[in-house]
Amino acid sequence: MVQLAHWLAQLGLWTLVAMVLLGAVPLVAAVCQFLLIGLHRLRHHYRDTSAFEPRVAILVPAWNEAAVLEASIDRLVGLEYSPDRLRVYVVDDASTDATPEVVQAKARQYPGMVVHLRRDKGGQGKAHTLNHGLRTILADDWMQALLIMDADVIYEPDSLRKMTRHLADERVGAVTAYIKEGSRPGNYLQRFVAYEYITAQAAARRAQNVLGALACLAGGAQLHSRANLEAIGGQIDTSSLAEDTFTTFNTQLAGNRVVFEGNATVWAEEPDGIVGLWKQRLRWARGNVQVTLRFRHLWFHPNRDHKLGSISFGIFWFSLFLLPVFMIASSAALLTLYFVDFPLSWLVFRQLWIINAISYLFITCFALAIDPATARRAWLEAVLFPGLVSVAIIAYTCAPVGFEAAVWWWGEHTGLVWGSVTTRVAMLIAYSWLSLCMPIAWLGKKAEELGRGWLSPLFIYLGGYGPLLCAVTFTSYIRELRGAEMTWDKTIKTGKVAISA
Amino acid sequence: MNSQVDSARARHRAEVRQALAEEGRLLVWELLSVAAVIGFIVIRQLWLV
Repeated sequence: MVQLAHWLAQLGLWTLVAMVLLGAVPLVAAVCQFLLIGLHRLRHHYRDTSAFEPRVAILVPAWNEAAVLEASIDRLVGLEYSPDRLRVYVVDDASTDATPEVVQAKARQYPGMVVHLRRDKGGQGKAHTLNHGLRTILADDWMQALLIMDADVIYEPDSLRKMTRHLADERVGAVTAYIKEGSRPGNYLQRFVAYEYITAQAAARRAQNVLGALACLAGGAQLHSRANLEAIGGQIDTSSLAEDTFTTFNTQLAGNRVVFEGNATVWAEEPDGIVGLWKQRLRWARGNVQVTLRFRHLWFHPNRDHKLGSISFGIFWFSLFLLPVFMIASSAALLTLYFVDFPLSWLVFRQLWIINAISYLFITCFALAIDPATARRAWLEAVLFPGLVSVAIIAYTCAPVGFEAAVWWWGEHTGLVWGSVTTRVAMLIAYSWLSLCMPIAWLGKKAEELGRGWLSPLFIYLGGYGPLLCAVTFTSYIRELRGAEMTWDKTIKTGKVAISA
Repeated sequence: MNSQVDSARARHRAEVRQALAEEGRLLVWELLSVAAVIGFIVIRQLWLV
């Protein structure tokens, strides 16, 4: 009986240790994904491309986009692409601003190249708007490829050509590009987004090219072959908030390949405030919950026809999707260990953060090298992506002796008594930080809502931009569990994208 | 017409070479980043702990 109790206690302890180490799973998965990037030099799609210029219809959904449409259309018409093989269809989703006038003026300026389509009843979301345009475009056989974009994004002149070359291979159904944050001068939040897009797009999607399964065609840059559009039913899914991810999955389930073209650059304006960013990301995160549930039969079920069911793709998907669960489980287990077996808790805490430190160092160094231009602009946000406190814990884990000496020196000069109580409080905060960072980052949004926006950067730099996204994912679980209404909160665009090209 | 096609093909080949060079650059940086991490682990074990 005593032996059984001892055995159960040991089992409990090791379960707690395993739960703590769950906190390292997302970063380790990210490291594995980053390690695949180098293989993209060997396993790429370029050898199956050719100088291919299909007739491209560009579909631009627009709801009150007068501020950005004029420049967008001018850029599209000026793309390095044969003008007689390009048409721009703007679907005006019952706009109440000057959108119709702007598009009609452009249609007169570029006869035969710009088409104005109007929906009298709007506000149902992007997918409905796209479907309105799709019905018209598919009705005749002029279109050979369709580019779905957002009204505010700006394509580099050579980007469309770099995308269409992949469609020369008939196995490819869709191609996406590298969307970069383009607001100038931009604020701290937009610089965080700029760095995030290196990791989430330039890096992660290259890795997914290597795996042969892409998680998402960027909503602002999806090029589809006509055959692919017809294979997925000729319309975009309207039942979720993640129409682009549904299209991506459906394309691959139809047996067509999806390719990320990292050298085709598209610039987008991202929200300059946390409330706007929160709404946008909550929509994406709820969409991901819907995708996860809708395609539940796919996960971890390898299939000959597509790679969406591969083990590696499933691990990468769920390491992000379950990020808040991993963080909360890890902190809870650490705090439990603190009270049950303190020496073991300290050992596991340090091992966890050493893994995190190594992963953070590798990912940050490599991500900054992937896109040097963005790195020059957003290096501070890259370093502080996990938040100042997490970086401090990493610094402590890496160099405990030096860190402790610095803390003592700081304590002596500021009069802060670093006694046993202070140490214990600091330790408890550090143990729970993987969870605590989320509400701290969330306070940045709350501060903005309460009209104290000047406090928001403090909370975001302290808690971290990564944890802010984690808090969004956590909120998306709750919203979906409650069955909250699916509202399409449009991101406000002001036309501040500026590129040198 | 033929010259246009030739020019498009030449431009395509040049752009693919450029893309492959970029992927090669990333491979080098990946190896350098791995080296940096290994260097960091060695330094930590030798001098920082």
